[in-house]
Amino acid sequence: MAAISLLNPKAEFARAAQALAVNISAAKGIQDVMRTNLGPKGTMKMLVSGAGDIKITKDGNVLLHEMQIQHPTASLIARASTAQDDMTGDGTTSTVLVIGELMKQADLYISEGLHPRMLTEGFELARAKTIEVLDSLKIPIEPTKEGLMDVAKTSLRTKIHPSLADKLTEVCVDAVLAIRQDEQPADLHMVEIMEMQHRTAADTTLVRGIVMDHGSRHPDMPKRVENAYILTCNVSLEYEKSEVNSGFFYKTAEEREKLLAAEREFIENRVKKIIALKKKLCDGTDKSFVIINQKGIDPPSLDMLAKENIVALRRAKRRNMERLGLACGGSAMNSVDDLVEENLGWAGLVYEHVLGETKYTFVEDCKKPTSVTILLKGPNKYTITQLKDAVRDGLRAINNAINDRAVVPGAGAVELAASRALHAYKEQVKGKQRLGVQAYAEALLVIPKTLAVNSGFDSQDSIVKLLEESTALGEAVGLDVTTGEALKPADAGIYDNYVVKKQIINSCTVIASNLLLVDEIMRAGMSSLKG
Amino acid sequence: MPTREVLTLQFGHYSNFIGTHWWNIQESSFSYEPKQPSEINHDVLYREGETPRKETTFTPRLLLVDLKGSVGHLTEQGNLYKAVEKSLPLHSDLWDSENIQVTTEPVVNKAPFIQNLEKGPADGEDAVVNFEDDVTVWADYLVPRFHPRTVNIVREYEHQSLDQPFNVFHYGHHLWKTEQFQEEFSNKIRAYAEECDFMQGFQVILDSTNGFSGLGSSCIQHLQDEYGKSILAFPVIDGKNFNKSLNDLFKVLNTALCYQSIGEHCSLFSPLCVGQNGWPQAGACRQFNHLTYNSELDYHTSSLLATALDTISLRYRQKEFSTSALSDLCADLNKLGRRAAATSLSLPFPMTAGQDLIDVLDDHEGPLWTSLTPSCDISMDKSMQSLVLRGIHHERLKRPPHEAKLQQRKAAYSCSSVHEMMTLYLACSCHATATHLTNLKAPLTIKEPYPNIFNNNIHQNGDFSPWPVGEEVKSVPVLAGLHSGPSLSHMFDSLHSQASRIKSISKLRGFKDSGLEQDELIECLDQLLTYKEAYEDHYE
Ligand SMILES: Nc1ncnc2c1ncn2[C@@H]1O[C@H](COP(=O)(O)OP(=O)(O)OP(=O)(O)O)[C@@H](O)[C@H]1O
Ligand SMILES: [Mg+2]
Repeated sequence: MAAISLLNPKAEFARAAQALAVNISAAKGIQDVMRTNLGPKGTMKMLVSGAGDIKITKDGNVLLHEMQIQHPTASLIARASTAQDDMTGDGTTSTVLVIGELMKQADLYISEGLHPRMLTEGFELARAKTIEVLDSLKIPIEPTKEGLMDVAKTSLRTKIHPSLADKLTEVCVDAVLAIRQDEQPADLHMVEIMEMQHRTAADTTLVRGIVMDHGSRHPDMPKRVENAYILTCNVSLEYEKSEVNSGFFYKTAEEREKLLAAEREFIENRVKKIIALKKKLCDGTDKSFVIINQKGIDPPSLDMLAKENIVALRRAKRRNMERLGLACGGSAMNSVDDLVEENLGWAGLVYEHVLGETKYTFVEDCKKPTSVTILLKGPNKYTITQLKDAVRDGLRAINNAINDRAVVPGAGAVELAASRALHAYKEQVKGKQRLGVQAYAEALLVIPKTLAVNSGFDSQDSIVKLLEESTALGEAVGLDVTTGEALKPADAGIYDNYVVKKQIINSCTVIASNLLLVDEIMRAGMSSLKG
Repeated sequence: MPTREVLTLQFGHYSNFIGTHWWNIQESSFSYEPKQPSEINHDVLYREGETPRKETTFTPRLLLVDLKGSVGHLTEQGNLYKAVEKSLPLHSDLWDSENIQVTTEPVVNKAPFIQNLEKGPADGEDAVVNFEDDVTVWADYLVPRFHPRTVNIVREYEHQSLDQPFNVFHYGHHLWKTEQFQEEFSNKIRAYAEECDFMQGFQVILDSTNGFSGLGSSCIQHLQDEYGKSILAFPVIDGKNFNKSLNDLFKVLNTALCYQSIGEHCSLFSPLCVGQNGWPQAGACRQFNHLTYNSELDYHTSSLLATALDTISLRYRQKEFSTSALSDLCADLNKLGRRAAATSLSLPFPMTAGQDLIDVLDDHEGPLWTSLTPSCDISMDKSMQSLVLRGIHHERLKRPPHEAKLQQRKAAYSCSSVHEMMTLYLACSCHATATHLTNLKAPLTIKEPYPNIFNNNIHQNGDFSPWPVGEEVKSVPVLAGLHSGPSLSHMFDSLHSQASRIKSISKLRGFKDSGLEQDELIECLDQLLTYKEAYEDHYE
């Protein structure tokens, strides 16, 4: 039984009813912690450790990782919510809020004697209906810059200042569009996020090419070259000694050293092969030659290369090999035998930038860069981390929208519309399951209500206004967080991801049901232990 | 001769206790005297760098990992590379300041030793230091300052948590797959490797009884895949003895899984513990003739292990003959599938006051060293061994002919160096054994915060007397070694029989839930036997 193993072993001995009460209170507790985070007016949380380490975040996912969640139920919810984030990159806070609210609503009915089973069956009906509503609210989009800017902006503005969010929106959309190749789903790994601790966050930029956090290791190598052939390879250009021969075999250490010198020749020949190709292609032209190697390059090899004006970088990140191929063309070579021009990539400009201890190498002016770099800047580590989390969310929101070919109205519009539809639908449901549908309809309102509270408005007032407006207009409306009135999300450009909402609805229902059925699960678990 | 760099990795709290002593010992051996340069090439384990304010730094080439709440006053980034801020900036550049909720944990107090270390000479009296009481975490006696890369804190698990303890191999294994390790940590390894001109490899210290066994093992596998260089690993067990509990089985199983994995992926490993047994409990602590230490104090026990590591590693850290020292060391000992070696220590190396090495060796009875490897007593015979002797000065070799008297009758009198004499001694006293001996003149410097564990018959230069002398010990000669010989088979055998007590993994919930299958347990047990067989002598 998978579910029970997630519970604290001690819980086995708690009586079932108690276990349910425990689950409900835990769900409420974690909801209380996360409630204030939701939406563009949510609270940022700053955690200062006893030693002075600062973590700052508004991201539900990060917070859940930072909080020590000791209670097993709470950690179950936390894990489910983080799983949500791992899949779609968003919606953690909403997940926690909706689960908490489902449990609260359920509590009311259960205390009046309703069996949890009735509720969960009702939840399931409501879930299916909610998905129907969600599908009906889908707004088709084209994967173009215009089509994607709004959904990206909505996401970023829930994590950083509007002024900065708007700047990053374009960076993120351009990045995803650049790496997208003929209708294929984009691989977000091809957007490298590079951090640079420097000045202000507003200097964050998109580099249409690759930025690496290391540079050449020889003082005589050029710091800037144009029209460059790029050789990416995974070939050791450093003297390596295998463990085949033990030291016991050598009479004297001097003798040993001599033998080792002979082994270097082998490496030298590799370097010579690269140099030969460089001479053939570049000598007498204005072209230059750059090696980016995943393996090491030792000083004697660097010397030889530097004499030929070749720029050489060693120990490149494995993933950059692939990225470089996409940005510059060419392919990563595992051997330097029989190298030909077609193996090489090309970049218009390669240059080095030094910042403190770290050198950065920029590979730019590539013909059709299908791998790009977002260069994040910020005055300190925690600002950069915060920025990085926001950018990641933004990239995934864009990618989700492309994959969905649609978005849905945000600002609580989906939840409000679904809640209304459920109230109508429950009349058709027979039996006590109806109460489950009703509870579900109420619970969904936690999203617009919380958005209102976080913006400084009364939740009841706002909900009433929204319901009235939505009835009058006959369409979905959301909450205007600056006025507390209703707005049409499409007019304001507030869009969420379809897939995220769908995930939230599905996983909240499953988890809340599991938590409610804890006694059945436990009984099953107990008997399986006995039998 | 160019420097051949080594990257050090430390996984887990006890490993960091050892590491802290080790780095402290190394700093105490720095020589600032140009006329007396050190025999040790400190560039092997340290890197030179520069802060944003253009100050030169010399910091350990080190990555360490520990759990949240285990690093005391240290911050993850350290303060070497950033200006010390008087007050924390409790705002964000990225969000409205009215909308920020700050949660501040209580400030961690610095241990008295750290307070003294950080204060200037004008800041008044030193605080009273009593390490045995003051030290709760390793940061409490840490001397060097770290590069911002060095400290890595696991966010998912809290130090000494009872509700969600980090006590299962697989927890660590899963942790390795998270972004913090796949991206950040691996990238830090890469950044260190990128800086090296002639890297020789890696030395890894990892706790073997808890979740760090899985994290460290996964990392070792990554190092092998990605760098293909020598990896010397030290899985460690702390020396404390607890009441018998189910937890003992957890520790045994973690250790078994750890040895299984690292045996496959590192060049050589040597288990360390001051307890004689190691499993299921540490057991009675190893005895040293001239030391008194408290086996319940990590601060004490880890200093012995650090002393052994500092000494053994001199083979690949000395300035002379450095070309491929680590790979040679591993190759000397790991033949025939023998992936484990035992560690020995002789502290202090027993130099009787007023006597020469020739007489000391001649008069010596019993084994020359104490084993620091659990369930393994080191025999002198049929072994491959790499020994390092430090701190015997040439003048202590023998008397010149006119004063030599009886010494001249000894065969060893013809030896003209410490190295030669020691080699002769080992050749005579170790049967069918091949020895590689490294010899350094300088002794081990003993300096606060090294614990005061020497008996009062030890002179300040490490010599011993039959009677109390009451001197403050300043330095000691040390002998330490790695030994690959028949006694290792007993170690594997004993671990195998302890782990075999686990009949079914369903009792060990954490393991089962995190994905250990019964088959894997059986495979692990079989592997321990395979390792054991590699040490058995089939020629008799
Ligand atoms: N400008 C806006 N006006 C009103 N509501 C908005 C606006 N922008 C976003 N929202 C709403 O805020 C909610 C998202 O908030 P937020 O991103 O803080 O939480 P989350 O996505 O549930 O969790 P996570 O912390 O994982 O991002 C969505 O319901 C979205 O429709
Ligand atoms: Mg969000």
